[in-house]
Amino acid sequence: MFWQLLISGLVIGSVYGLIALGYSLIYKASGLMTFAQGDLLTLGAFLGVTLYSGLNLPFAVSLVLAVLLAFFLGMGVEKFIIRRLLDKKVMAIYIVLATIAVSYIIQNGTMLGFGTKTLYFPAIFPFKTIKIGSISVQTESVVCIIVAVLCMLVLHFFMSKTKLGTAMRAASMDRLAAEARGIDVSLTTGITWGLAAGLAALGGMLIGPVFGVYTTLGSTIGKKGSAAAVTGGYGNMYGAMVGGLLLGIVETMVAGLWTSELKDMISYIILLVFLFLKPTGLFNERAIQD
Amino acid sequence: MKKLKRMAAMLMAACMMAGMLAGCGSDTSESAGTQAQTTAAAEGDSQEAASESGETYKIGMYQVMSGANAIYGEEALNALNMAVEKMNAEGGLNGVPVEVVVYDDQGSPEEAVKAVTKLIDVDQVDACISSCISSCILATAGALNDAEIITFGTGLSPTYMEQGWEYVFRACVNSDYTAPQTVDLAKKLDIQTVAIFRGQDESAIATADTFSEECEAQGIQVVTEEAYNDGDSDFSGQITKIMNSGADAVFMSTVGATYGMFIKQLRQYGFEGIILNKEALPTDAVEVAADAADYVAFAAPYLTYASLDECDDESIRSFLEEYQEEFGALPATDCAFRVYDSLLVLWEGAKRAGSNDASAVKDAINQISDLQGLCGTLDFTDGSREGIHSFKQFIRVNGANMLLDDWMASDAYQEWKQNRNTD
Amino acid sequence: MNGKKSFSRKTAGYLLLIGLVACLPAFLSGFPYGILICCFIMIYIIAVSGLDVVFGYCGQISMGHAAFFAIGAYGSALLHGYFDIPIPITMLIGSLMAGLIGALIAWPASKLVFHFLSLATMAFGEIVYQFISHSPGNITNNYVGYYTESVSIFGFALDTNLKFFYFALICTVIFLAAKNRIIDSKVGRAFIAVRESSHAAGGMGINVRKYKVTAFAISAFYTAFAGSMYAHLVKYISPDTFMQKQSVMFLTMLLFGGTASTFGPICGAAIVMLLNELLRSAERYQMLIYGIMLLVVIVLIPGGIYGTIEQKVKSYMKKKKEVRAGAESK
Repeated sequence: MFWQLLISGLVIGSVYGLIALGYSLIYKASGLMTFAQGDLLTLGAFLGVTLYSGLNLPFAVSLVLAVLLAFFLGMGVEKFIIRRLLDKKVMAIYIVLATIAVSYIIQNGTMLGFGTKTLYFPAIFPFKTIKIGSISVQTESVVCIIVAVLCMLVLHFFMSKTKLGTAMRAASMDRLAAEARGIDVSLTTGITWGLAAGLAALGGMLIGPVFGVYTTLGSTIGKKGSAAAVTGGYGNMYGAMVGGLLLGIVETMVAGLWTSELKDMISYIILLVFLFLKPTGLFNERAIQD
Repeated sequence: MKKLKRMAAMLMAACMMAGMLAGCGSDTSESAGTQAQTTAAAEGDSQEAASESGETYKIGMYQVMSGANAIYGEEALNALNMAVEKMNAEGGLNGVPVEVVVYDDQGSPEEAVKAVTKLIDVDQVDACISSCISSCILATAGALNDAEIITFGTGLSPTYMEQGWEYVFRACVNSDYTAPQTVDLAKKLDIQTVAIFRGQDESAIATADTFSEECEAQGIQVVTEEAYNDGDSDFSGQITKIMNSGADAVFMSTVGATYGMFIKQLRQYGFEGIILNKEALPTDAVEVAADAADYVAFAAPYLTYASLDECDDESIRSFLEEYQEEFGALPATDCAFRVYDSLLVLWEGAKRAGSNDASAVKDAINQISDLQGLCGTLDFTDGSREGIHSFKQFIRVNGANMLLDDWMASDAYQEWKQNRNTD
Repeated sequence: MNGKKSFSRKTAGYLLLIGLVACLPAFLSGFPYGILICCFIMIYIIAVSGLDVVFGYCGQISMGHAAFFAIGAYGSALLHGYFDIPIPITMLIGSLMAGLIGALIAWPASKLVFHFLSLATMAFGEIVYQFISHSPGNITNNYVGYYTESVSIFGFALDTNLKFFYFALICTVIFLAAKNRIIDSKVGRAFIAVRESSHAAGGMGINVRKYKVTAFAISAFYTAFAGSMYAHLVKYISPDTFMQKQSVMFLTMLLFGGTASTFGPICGAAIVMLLNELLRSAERYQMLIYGIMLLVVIVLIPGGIYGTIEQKVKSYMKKKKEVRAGAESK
């Protein structure tokens, strides 16, 4: 029973982690906070199901297309909303509010555009479940864990080793100095937001076949993902993933071994106590702003 | 600076006034007219007054039309429009044309209170179709009752009908009435132990409670009761517990998208028993769950259909044909049936009363004993203000819903039973 | 001399505004819906003003103010229901309780910043929501919701929306006046110092933690009082009202109006509420249109509606002054 719960916790935790990566990326590269990741996940899932089962495109093609579309949407959000607000030098909280507005629009837009029914996302792989010991897990869930870990590694490498990643971090630390060094700050933050949106869409494509696609698919996952990002240390890629897995495992364990009725309350109490005891997160990420 | 503050204050006041007047001004004049009409109606000559002044009979509805359960609101609205179109084609209610006013309550009691106050006060509706979310009904139906507006609940919870609101009726299922049927069904299938999986809203809890009481009375043991939170999509913890409890069957008391995800995950974990449900499964959930939805059994007055061919009930079929023609798809939930039946009852009540006066219609509805609705016969004569008293027991086998008795009489049942025993 | 004169002018301005609002029901006579909306607006003004104290003045973000709203509402309703204490007193006790809980939660939270603080307050909101929906011994009636009564002062029941309107107006005036008092005092200046730079404030000898805790307590008191007003206006409370989206609504109203001012919250609460009501006939499109309008306003006039107006007026006055000064010097 313990192992079963552990594996289930890892599966849902990796989804939280994937979303948390997006939050961390945006924070690391622009010092900003967003609330739209969860709904971008929903949108990604809807785009995926439309392309894959609506237009009958191969899965790989629809995956790439959906992620690309989300990427450009993310860049668009940055260019037309976030950038404008940044140029006006408003308080950071207004950007948070703007992302909340974006999430309202996506949630209700998908409802009007794709309907209120839960859409069926056909299975991606021919074999439905994978047996790990005595436990059977849906293939997509296993893929989700693998993809999430891969994304974490790639992003960490990208942020710390590549030129663009370094430019992004520089842009978030001191915009003026970065521009003086010839970094196109506007472009780098645009790419960041695009990448985060792409990650969310990827997550949506992966969990669509597991849960079905509906308009509020991402809202709770998005909220939990942000909790995961903070727990791990906002801005740290490893932290985001570890935070996500931890949250998933705690939640599943509490529900399976203790009480499902109070599982959210207990998870949040643990989170709160954790925050009070270790305010900088597991990976000691220093907050940029005070 | 001080001057500035004062100016700003004035400006604000102007803004607020303008906003208020813009918001309400147009409505005030309109409502004054309706008010005059209602008083006339109360005097008993509504028909004449109506045809002379060109007045309409207003049916209000507040439903959840955004968020997780938006599908219920959307299908309710479609059914309402269909029914009203039909009423108007046949001359309206006692010669008065019918008009529809609809608001979104977002599934929140606060929004519902505002929407209902607006329905009562600004739109001055004559009848109202209530939300399918029971906390919204609980927060508002009292006010509708006090305003003597004929109201139909579309939620399945027993609670709101227990408040003694005499203008509040229901032409859909009371989950208290189906629970004994579901337990009876379980007994037929030789189920000894059952696990309950439920949501945490008022309706889900009330349904689960009645079911577990009924189980106790009938000698079925409830081995565990698991809950989930709104918005959850992964139920591994709960399912692990259910599996470990060794229950023969699982009873679900949930809504919307949860059905499909839960059934699918439950089967994935290797649960092979019967899954009991409080109502017919929505068709979109069946699609998500695919063959995992087999052996879901429930007691209900009607089924939901993925295609017209599946439907063998005469009246539902003709309703669905019209629905599909008008809205391009079949309803996924039974919420459309609930609203349509409610309007049939209202129509019949008004016909019998011979006037649209609320208190006369109310008394007339209490006399209805043999109205044929989508659910079969609607009977309000026992004073409970509940219309549906008879249910059928269904089970889903090989992708199709069938009557439980039919299935149990077939060879397929013997085969299934044998498979179960050898396991 | 001059100060006194302008003070009386300011007071006159306020009185005029209050008088105008007090006359509103005359325009809305026989129109309980309009009056109900006004009541809701005033409830939200108090709640949002509370949030303004902690966010606008002290710079501490809270994404969990629905929790205090809930504590006020349930506190007052339950105290009345179980112990039969007269309602205005239960409202005060409930709010004081919320203030205390606010202080308790702010004590450890005061060392958290931005994201961490917003997550901590969000978690707190979620815990309170879970608590009222899974209360020990079912005292809150959990998801079924709890019925309560209308406010009654010395036997005079505020059972109509109109009576409640005047009660709410009086409360709003008292709370806003009190807020101005607090902000103009030493405490208020300390809040602003903490907001501008907690390090600098600490260096100046301001006990940062103490003021953060104070701000949270005051803020919680305000919002909880609004919650108790809500409970006795609607006379039915259920956990659905106190979910996280309510906290987001408070924040939206505050930012929409403008932070750190008396009129910002008024503006924000009134406009967001009216907007929502006007959009009601849009049925399914309501939330989408609301989202779009919210976004457009934020992008076009960040700083909030009142904040922007204030700035425009300020620059206009400055220009006028310059022109006048120019004319005089000639």
